[in-house]
Amino acid sequence: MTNNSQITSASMAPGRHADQRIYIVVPAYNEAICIGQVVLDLKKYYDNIVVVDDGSNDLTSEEAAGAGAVVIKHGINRGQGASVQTGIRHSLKCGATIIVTFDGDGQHQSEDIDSLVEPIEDGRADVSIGSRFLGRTENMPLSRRLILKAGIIYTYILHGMKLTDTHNGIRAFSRTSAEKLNIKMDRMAHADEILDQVRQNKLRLVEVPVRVIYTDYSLNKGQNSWHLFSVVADYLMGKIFR
Amino acid sequence: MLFQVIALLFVGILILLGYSAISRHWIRIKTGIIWLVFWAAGAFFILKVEMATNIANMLGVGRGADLLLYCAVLLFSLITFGLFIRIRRMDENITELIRQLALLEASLKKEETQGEYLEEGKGRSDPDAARIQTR
Repeated sequence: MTNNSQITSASMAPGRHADQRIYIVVPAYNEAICIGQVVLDLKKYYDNIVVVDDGSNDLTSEEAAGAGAVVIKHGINRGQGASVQTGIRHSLKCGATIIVTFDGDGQHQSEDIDSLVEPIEDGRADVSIGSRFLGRTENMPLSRRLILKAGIIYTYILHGMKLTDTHNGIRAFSRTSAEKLNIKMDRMAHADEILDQVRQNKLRLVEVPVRVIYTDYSLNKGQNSWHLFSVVADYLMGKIFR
Repeated sequence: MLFQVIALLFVGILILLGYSAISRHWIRIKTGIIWLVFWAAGAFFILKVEMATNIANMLGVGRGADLLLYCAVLLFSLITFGLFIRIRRMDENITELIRQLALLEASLKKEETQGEYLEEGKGRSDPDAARIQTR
């Protein structure tokens, strides 16, 4: 694949983003199997893909670089929150105007990024988060659906924000809101921490419907339904023992 | 009586350990002395439980042992809290170090490949040059 065809396809995608420098941050840990395809899908529409390899011991970095992403590798595994923060810092240094976070396990669809970027570009919002419940879902088991609903109530109690989807890794930030972020909760509780910081900084947040596809691969990867409880515990511990 | 013997032996071992830690410079003298005094006080109250009970009564607590327990719990929760804070901050520092190292490596790699592209233009006769061009 030569450089020329990449530039062409990027500007043929929703071209109204032409005057925005959009950076896609993809945190990844041991995703060598699918990271290449994830990056290629993103490369169809966007030029700047930043894969943050969180200390993988497989070929995640090589696969991502081979597919055309800029790869930043943590020497040690520090957690998804830390990876996102690293990716954001790099993107800001490169002059990004809009920063998008995107999961590296293939659950998210690169076509959804457009609808996330739009409200920020229009100036209607500072931050946009994808929501599974506003959009369609495929293959989600019922037990998981119920636990996610419980998560919404928990979010309202803890953050004072009514959100239909609390822990969705696909988000977009304007440059100014990304600059205000400072994620210190390295592991899974960073999703809650981001919501807290959004509220603290009085940033305008909108939810956008997105598709999340649960393949056998991503379901097996360990984010089972009870994972949410350990995330809650992690978050509370972080808040108490700051 | 038996408990007092065992407990005193234990405190004796602690004091020896504390002393050797100080002499090997594992901890500062000031810190070491504080702990030694603490353990010596523990030994004292194990021997003279009546003293603890007297103090306890003065403070309005029923038994000496109870008073010692309350003090120990408060002291240890203070120490534990301090440790949690320290560990949390160390964690954040480690992440920041890893982050800066990762960003530095990434920018060095970028400079490397850009350097190769530049040298390409100068007409290097390098067997790897052809590979670089097509990448």
